[in-house]
Amino acid sequence: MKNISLYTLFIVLIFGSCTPDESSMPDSDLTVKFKSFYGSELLVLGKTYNYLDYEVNFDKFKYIISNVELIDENNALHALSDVELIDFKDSSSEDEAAKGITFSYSGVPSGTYKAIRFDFGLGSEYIGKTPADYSSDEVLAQSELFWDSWGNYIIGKLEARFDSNNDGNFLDETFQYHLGGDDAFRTVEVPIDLNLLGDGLTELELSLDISDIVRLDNSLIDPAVYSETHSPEFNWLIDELLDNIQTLFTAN
Amino acid sequence: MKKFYFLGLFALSFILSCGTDDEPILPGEFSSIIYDPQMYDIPQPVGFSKMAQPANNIATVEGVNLGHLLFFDPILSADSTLSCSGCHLPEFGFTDGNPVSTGITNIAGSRSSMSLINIGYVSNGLFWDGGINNLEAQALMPVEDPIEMAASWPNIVERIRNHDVYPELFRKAFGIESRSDIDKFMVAKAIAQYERSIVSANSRYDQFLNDDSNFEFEDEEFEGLLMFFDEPTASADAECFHCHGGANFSSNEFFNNGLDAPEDLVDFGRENVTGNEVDRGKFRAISLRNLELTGPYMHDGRILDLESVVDFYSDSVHITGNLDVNLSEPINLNEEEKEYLLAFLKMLTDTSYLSDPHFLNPFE
Repeated sequence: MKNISLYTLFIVLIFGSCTPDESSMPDSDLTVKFKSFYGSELLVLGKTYNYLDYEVNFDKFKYIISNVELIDENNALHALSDVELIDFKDSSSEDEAAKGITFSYSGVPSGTYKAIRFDFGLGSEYIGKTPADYSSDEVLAQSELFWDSWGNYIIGKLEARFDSNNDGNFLDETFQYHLGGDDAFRTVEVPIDLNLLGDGLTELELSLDISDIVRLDNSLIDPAVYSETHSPEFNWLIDELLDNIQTLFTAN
Repeated sequence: MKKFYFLGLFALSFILSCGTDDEPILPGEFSSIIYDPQMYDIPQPVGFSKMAQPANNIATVEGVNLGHLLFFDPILSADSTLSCSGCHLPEFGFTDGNPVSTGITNIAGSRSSMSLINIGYVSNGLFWDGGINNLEAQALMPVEDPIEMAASWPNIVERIRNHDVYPELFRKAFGIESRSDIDKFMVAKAIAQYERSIVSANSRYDQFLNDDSNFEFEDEEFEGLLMFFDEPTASADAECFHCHGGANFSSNEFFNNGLDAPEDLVDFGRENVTGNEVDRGKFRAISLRNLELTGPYMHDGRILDLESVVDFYSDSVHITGNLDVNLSEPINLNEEEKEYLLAFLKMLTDTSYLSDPHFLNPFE
């Protein structure tokens, strides 16, 4: 009997010691990849997509996120970064678009994470900030992202041309949806199932479908009616687009 | 004996620990010259970001002063006739006033000399196409370019090593121990430090920013400002700020501004760097500061005066596949509106730096 007890104890000790103890695991490396789609297709700049009764070419898609953090299984938060610019300027082919925009983080505590959370745009702590508050090599020093007239950041840009009369000429009409304003941010929380074991690089992929952003009352916005947002009378449209974006990110 | 041994060891360690930073004990021919570089305070004008500097080349007083000399010294060219300033003259806003530049062999380049004013605030690569990453790398290129200085770095470095003055200045700036430590990278670092110190922000527009309550605009200037920034009360939409916004009046981005019809495009610009067709014909939206001094205009200097630049954007933009969307509709300004815009653009001129020896040729 004594032998059996010792044997059992031995087994328990062995297996007990083999249970992964997250606190003792080395930190992990994590890559977060952002991809953009138009419907089921990757977003490729200059490629022709169908849009309402038009054909459309996208010229530019970029946005800022801030306060990026992981939420672990115990609801503890682990910060990844303050601000990131996701700019699809090189997505001019299927191959480039498939690469997505990646950010690498090292020293991430190993463990199980159930969500990634960030502000799409710049959270309230950035109100009143200007490029002069940052070093010239930081994202928020970029003047192209700042609206001098409004005194705040442009946190997203979607620019495109469309062929309004289907004559094959994309040059005659454009739309520019620029997102900005003091309240121009939404907190996004994307469920994930992420186990970081400290044993190599792990990749998390987040996707956003443009065709679901540009909607009002569940219908695609007609760019012939609303061609731009950077005017005070279109603040409501900025809000609508941001509300759409808040729920659209998905994780793979 | 043991006590003497410990006493001796104590004395030796005391002497070593008392060596001061001012008098480092160094081997080599320059050990008697103090290496004690002082931080150079690069100005941060109102509205500008703090200028980022590479960690391995933070500006010092000694480095900037050395770079100032090297920048204006023709010692860097094969026949000692052309300096960096040959294509970047202070009186032309650190351009050369020509459509395109020519080097010592009189062969013309294909692009216009770019202004170095506030160059330390330029990000997203340098040159018209962003084809090089930083000032240190850029400063290496003209010396060996056959249509610029047409020299070889080993020869130039040898000249500098054997110079009467420079080796001591390199010691003070970079702490070299002997003249043989000087290399081309050190030369480029000094020039880059000087270039980052070329900051200009004392235009009438800056005076408005610094003291807007007492500043008085000319009517044309103010109307031009409203047009430039697309203020609701503007008499016409110019919206230049989309590409030329921010404290330095540049987005640091690349745009196709419709200069050529697609079939006439010779220089593919940004596409040459990225390989992406969507970048065809895109060039940097340069800073508009001191624009009045930096003509001729555009990447190839084809537009000779500022009035013609405004005419071009108003009436002559070619519609191309990747024309920036902000230019897809003609601006169509009338003559009065063009004058307003010109008046505002001329507000960005700052000639005060031309009376500061820091920006001038130290050999004249």
